Amino acid sequence: MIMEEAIPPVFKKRFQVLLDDEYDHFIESINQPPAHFIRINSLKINIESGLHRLEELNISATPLPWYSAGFRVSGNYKQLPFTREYSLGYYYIQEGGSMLPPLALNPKPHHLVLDLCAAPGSKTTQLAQMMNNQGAIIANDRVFRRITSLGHNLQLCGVINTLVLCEDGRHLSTRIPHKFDRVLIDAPCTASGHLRSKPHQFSIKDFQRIKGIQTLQKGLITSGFRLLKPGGHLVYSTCSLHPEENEAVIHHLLSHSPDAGIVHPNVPGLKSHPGLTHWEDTQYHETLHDCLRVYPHENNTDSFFIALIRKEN
Amino acid sequence: MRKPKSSPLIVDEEWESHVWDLLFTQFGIPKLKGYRFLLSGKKRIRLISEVASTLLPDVPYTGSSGLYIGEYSPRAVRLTMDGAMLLGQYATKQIIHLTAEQAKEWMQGESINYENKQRGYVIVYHKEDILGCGSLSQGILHSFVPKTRRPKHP
Ligand SMILES: C[S@@+](CC[C@H](N)C(=O)[O-])C[C@H]1O[C@@H](n2cnc3c(N)ncnc32)[C@H](O)[C@@H]1O
Repeated sequence: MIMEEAIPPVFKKRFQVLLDDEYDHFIESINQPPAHFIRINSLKINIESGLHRLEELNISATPLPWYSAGFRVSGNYKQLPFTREYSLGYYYIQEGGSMLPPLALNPKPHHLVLDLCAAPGSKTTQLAQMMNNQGAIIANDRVFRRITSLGHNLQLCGVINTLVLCEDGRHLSTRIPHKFDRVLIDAPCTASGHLRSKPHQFSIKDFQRIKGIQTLQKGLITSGFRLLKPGGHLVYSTCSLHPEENEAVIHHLLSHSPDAGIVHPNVPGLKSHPGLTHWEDTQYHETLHDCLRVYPHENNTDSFFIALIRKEN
Repeated sequence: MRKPKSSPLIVDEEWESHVWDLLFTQFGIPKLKGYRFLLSGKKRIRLISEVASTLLPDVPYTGSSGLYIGEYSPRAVRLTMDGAMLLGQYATKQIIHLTAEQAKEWMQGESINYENKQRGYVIVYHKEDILGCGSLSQGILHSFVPKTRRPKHP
């Protein structure tokens, strides 16, 4: 938990501007203990049996309004990682907000999908589940030691449609000849949206890193967009609240790629705010309104930013 | 930073047929469509969907592509836990069912007493769960549940 007094003034000021009259609700919600979530891995167990087994383990599960395989858990949930059911790969522990980008991307079983920043694989395993282990996913991450946990999670979840790659995502478009139906860029970020679950990450140093991270994020989205087929969809997401890591990056892509257009993600049951069309002195493309800002006080998850982009034919 | 291995995986149809033959002879698992086998290192069999396998030539191997489903030897395949979970449902023989108590011990990696006329590798069930693949010999069922997958509360 984090107390309002512990929020560095520079953050506080921007949160007040960003949240406006919802600021108090926002602060109240980040002072709550984080909620806990799991995904039932339907590659290994069907949802109904998965729920039944949770009951036997004395774990209560409330379905998320926006995803039939996602659940908020309470009761004996802390024991879950030590159970046989977990060892068998029936469940995957994943923050509720983190389930949103794959839902916005909405891959189909026959698709060729690229997950550009994939480790440790929460979203890759979810994508594989949504695709019913069909089609193909290339899961890439630049950091080789994180590839190990990605591999472990793919194995645990029984994923067979994924190839793992270890490259700098900014240069991938020159390394592989394929074009993808779907591209996910769950970008490295300052993680300023993890205020509840990881308050220790909430530091002024992160704020100073924003510029450098933004350059990396722009490089990743440019490369990811190049790897997209005409007519294909790309999701750019971060767990940061800072417009510099979100709208500014999308604005950069739109300004340099006339064939990029924003689409409003269709995630029924999710409460969200529109993307910003200006921040401080900068005016962004009007269509950024169709991006999603997800705040903790609305869905009881961590914060997320999600942009769905289509490459025109 | 450790560099990824660059050695390619072998996709060889003759060897793949041999693996399917072994699975059929051992467990009665029929040849299934849409899957390809890859050999990683000397013994590791990885299974990958057919569509994903078509991308292999363009994706330098990092050791984690596809699902590690078993250890190959020319006479038998020893399935991994996830291999047994995926393919074991099609098995028609070499299947055993454990009691709750036996399942607990076996999941901890312990060998257990198990009198049975079957010999060799078996698909291990408890109720509707496939727990993995074990090896039966002389009244003992050996467990191959890897350390990282042994639950504290089995
Ligand atoms: C937010 S995390 C991804 C989380 C992951 N999508 C999941 O759901 O489990 C961002 C990832 O980007 C990776 N990364 C950082 N720079 C990168 C680059 N230049 N190319 C590819 N991946 C990069 C990091 O190693 C990190 O694993």
